[in-house]
Formats: sequence, structure tokens, C-alpha cells
Amino acid sequence: MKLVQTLQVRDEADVVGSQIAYHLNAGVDFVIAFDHDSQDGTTDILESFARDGYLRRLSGTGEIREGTWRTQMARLAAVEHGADWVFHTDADEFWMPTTATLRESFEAVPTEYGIVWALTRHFPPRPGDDGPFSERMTVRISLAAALNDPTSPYRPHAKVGHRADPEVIVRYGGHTAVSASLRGLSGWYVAEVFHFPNRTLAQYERKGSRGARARGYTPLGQYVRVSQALESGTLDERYRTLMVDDQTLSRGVAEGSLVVDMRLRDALRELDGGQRDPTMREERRRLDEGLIAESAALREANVVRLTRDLDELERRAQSL
Amino acid sequence: MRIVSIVGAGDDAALLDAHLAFHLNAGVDLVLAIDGGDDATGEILAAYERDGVVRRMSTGAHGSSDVRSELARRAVAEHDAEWVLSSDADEFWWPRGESLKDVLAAIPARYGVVQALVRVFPPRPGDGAFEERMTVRPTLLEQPSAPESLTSTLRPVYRAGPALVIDPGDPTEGGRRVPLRAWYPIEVLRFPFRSPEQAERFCARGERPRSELEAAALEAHREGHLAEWYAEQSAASGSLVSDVRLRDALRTLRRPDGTSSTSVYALPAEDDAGLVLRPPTIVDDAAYAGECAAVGEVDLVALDRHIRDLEARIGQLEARFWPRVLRKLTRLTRR
Repeated sequence: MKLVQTLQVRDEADVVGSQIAYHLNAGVDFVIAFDHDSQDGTTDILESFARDGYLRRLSGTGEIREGTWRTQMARLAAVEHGADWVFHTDADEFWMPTTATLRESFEAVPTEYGIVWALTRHFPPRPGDDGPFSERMTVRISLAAALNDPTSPYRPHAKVGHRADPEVIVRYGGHTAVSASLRGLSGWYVAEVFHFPNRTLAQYERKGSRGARARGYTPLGQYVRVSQALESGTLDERYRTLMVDDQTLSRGVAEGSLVVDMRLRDALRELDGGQRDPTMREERRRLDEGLIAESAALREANVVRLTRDLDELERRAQSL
Repeated sequence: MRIVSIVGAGDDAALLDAHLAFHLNAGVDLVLAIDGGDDATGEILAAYERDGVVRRMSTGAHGSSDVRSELARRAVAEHDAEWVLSSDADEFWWPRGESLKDVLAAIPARYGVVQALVRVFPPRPGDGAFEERMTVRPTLLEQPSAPESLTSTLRPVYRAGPALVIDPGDPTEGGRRVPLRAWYPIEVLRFPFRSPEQAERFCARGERPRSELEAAALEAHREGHLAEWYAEQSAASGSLVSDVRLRDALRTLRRPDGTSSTSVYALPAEDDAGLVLRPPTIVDDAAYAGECAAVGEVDLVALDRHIRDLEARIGQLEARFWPRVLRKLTRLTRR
């Protein structure tokens, strides 16, 4: 079984090397990366993996065309790299299997199913800008109810993986794949996706300002907030509202909405120590209660998304 | 961004003063006030009007939908409103962010209506300032025996449009405006009964109840035991939670004693954002998400009903479309 990971990245030098090394050690055979006009050293990191034969780097500039680029990578994986399974990542996402290794989890999917999802679990920024993010960001958000705020970076969502298919279409964000020959398996998750969207003030500023521009006419609410903060000179304060300080952590742990989660930190430490397959450790594969509650919250969030889309369709129908 | 609020001035001058000061400090740029003709509230309105932040509208009708729709359209056409709130004097629209502007500016353009979650504060004993006493309220996580309807629980904020209609029963204007469902970035802190005398006046006017609490008060009034009902409500503790947000905000805005002014509150100075509100943390949002879910605006049953409605609507469109095409074809063939 050949497992290929796609990666879309722009200016994520602080995290992209760890992300690729982690997945290659967790069972990924090959990475196809789309480098969107990086200027911070990300390109050099990608090229170093490419030189070692683990990665193929594609590149592009201008306005982001997520779905197009992800679809291109997915099809290349099928046609030119002999993939059996393909899954789609951003540089700040780490796929952690829930009950087996990453490879075993994909292999366990019944043959009649071809599209699976991994449940995203968000890690908020913690105080401090020094050192690797994984040493500081060891607090996970655990939401029992869906956070349906369109401006929040912590909305429930899932990322998609699928059997290799030269005709597949991957939608914006890598949350959905469409194929005439593949059937989706919902209600079960192949892995958790540990998500570290905001790691330092400088990275938050870079991501927000470039993200808002790149998304052109319909910026996501979370990027609008960064733009507003940049304009009003309140970026530092805005970033602090996302940060979990020790006082918030104590309250969140007591209320069950925050959980201390060292799994990625420990896995990356082991990789630094030269150990392979960081996902294999038993304690990393335990099933936690939060996973079940968050799966339910994601289902609720998806019902809300569908309802909002229906509202938009209704508005269009009214205008006819 | 410019926010205009419409408010029925009512007959409680101190309440109106707090209402105006709070909203003008929380991001509202202009208030169009429906003047009820009460002398004391008229004085307050006149004082704010001199500062250029209130326009008095003597419509004669206390806030009917038609009057409010007309004012909303004027807010857009004459005062460049980008968002319009339609509020009552006993309501305080609390943004879950640094200000109302901060919250509304980030709403994606597709949404024409943002909904606010109503928090009804029950009466409390005593006769001091209402905000100092009324600092507990129910939580949606503890379901009451008689849950509120969606139209009572949610209040709309309208994105500006040329033909704005204020219809509390259907803020989507029959589906023409897309509402932001299942997340409510503004909370409406409402204080309907602030003293036994004021509750008596409220009930005597026979207004339409906006909540189960008001319906219960009106029923008690009809049955002649409003005073007992009020005392019972004031003593209730049950599953109420502490909420001192308005108390603290009004304490911050209150002018120092001895300042000679009609209003007891300060307005934001030029180039001043006004009241500094603390955005919620992720822990606050997690708890609030549970309450938003408890509102029950979106679920599979509602989704199914929504799809059926849309099917019916598309059926109507199809029914209109094909006869029109046939008529056109017939006309063409006759030529």
C-alpha cells in the first residue's frame, strides 16, 4: 500500500519541516507539496526533502486556487506516483491515528468505501514566542457543542483522504473529495488532525495579512479580523484573545473545554531522538471521551453548514 | 462602518439614559428614538440630540413594525447606516467582542441578518438602580418548563438594504435575506421588570409579551395578583447565574458625582472607541456554544422542513415558468 500526502503551504518555515518529517515517519511514502509563493525559507525546506527523494514540489503565485491545486496534486498522486491512498494537509496539520498506525488505519477501510475523513482538533497559542511550537502548544480545545462562529479559527471540521483516483476533485480546504467511483465512509474517522493554526504573533500577522489578500473578494471572517486589527494597530491585543494563558487553562480544564495533550510534543521529541514511527506508542492511540463528543459536534456543525447553504439557495430562488 | 439603532423611548428616563449611553459607547453611531411624549424621557432625548447622536422621531406610534421599517429605511438612506438594530429601551445589545462594530465588521457578506440571543433578567428586590440589583439570569443550559419560542429568543440585526423591512416574525423577509444561524455574536440583556410600580404600568398598557416572563406577568395582572407574582419572582434563585456585565459597564460610564448634566453617563470622546469590552476567551465561547445549541434553531428536523419549503418554492417557480414559456412560444408561432 502506498500512502501519499499532499501539502499546500505558504510561509510556514517554523512548522513545515517537522510536519513532513512526522508524516514520513508515521507511514507516509511520498509527499506532493504545492508551494504558494513562500518567501520565508519554506521553499528551501521543501527542496531539501525533494533532493532526498521524499517530495515533489509544485509552485504557483497570485491568488490562491486551493481546490484546483489540491485536485492537481491528488491526480498526480494517482497517475504518476502509484498512490493507493491520498490525504490532504496544510503545513500546520498533523494526522494522528486514533486506534492503529496511519497506514493500518487506511488499510482497514472496507473495500467498498473510498473516501474517509479525519477529525480536526485545534490547539490554541500559548504564551511565549520562543522554541518549537510543539513544546509550548500542548493544550487542545475540546468542544462538546459546535462553535458555529464564522469568524472563529476553531470551527469543527474534518479533512479528507481518499483512494487514488485520476478523476477525483478535491474541494477548497481539503475537506471534501468528489469522485464518481468512490463512496464516502462517514461516521468513522481514520485519524485525528492536530491543528496548530496560530503559533506566534509574527506568524499570526504574516498569515492573516497575506491570507486576507490571497483570498481576494471573499475573505474568511478570521482573516477579516486580522486585517481590522492590523489597520487599527491592535494586532497584539487580537492575538492575545486567541491565546490561552494559565488562568484560562485552569478554568478550561475544570469546565472540560481545554485538555492538556502532549502527544505531538512527545512524538516530535522521539523523532529528534532518531526513533521512527512516532504514532505507534500505545498511549498516543487511546480513545478519549472528547473524541466522541467532538464527532457529534462536527455532525451538528455540518447540519448548520447545510442549513446556511440552503438559506443562500432560498435567497437565490427568491430573486428569480 | 456605521451602525444606527432604532429605539422606542418609553417612559423611564433613567433607563433610557443608560440605554443610550451604553449603545453609543458600544459602537452605535446614531440612535433614531421614537419619542413617546413623556416629559422626562423627552429631556434626556433632547440632551443627546444636542450632542448630535440622537434624532427624535415623533411618529405617534410606539414602535410598530411599519414605523420601525420606515425609520430603518431612513437610517440607510439619510444616515448611511450599514447595520440597523431595532431595540427597546430596556434592552442592552452586548457584543461578544470589543464593540458592536468589531463584531459586525467580521460577518461574511453573504449574511443579511445577524441574530442576537436574548437574556431576560428577572425582577430583584430593592429600589436602587436596576443594573446594581438585577445581576442574575437564567441560563439556556438549564431548560425551563416553558421554553421560549425562537422569535422570543433571537432578535435580528439587519445589514443595510434599500427596502429594509423590520418584521420580528420573519427577519429574512421570506428568504430574501440570509440569516446567520446557530451562532449569535450579540447578546440582548433585557430588564423588563425593574420595580413593582413599573411592572404595574407595563401590564396596564397591555403590550404584547416578548417573553414567557412577560406573559406570566400579564396573566398575574389579569388575575389580580401581580404584586405577589413580582415578590415571588424577586425571591427566586433556582438555576440563575451571575451576570454583572451591564452593571460593570454602566459603573465605568457613570460621570463623577456633582457633574452638572442631564445624563448621568459619559459619551465617547472624539477618536475614542468608548467602552472597552473584553472579547470572550475560547473557554467562554465553548460554554456559549452549548447555549447556542440549546436554542435549537438548527437540527435535522428543521433542516428537513427547510428542504421541503424550498422544494415547494421551486415548484411554484417551475409552475410559473413553463406556462410563460408556452405563452411566448404560442405568440411566436402565431406571428
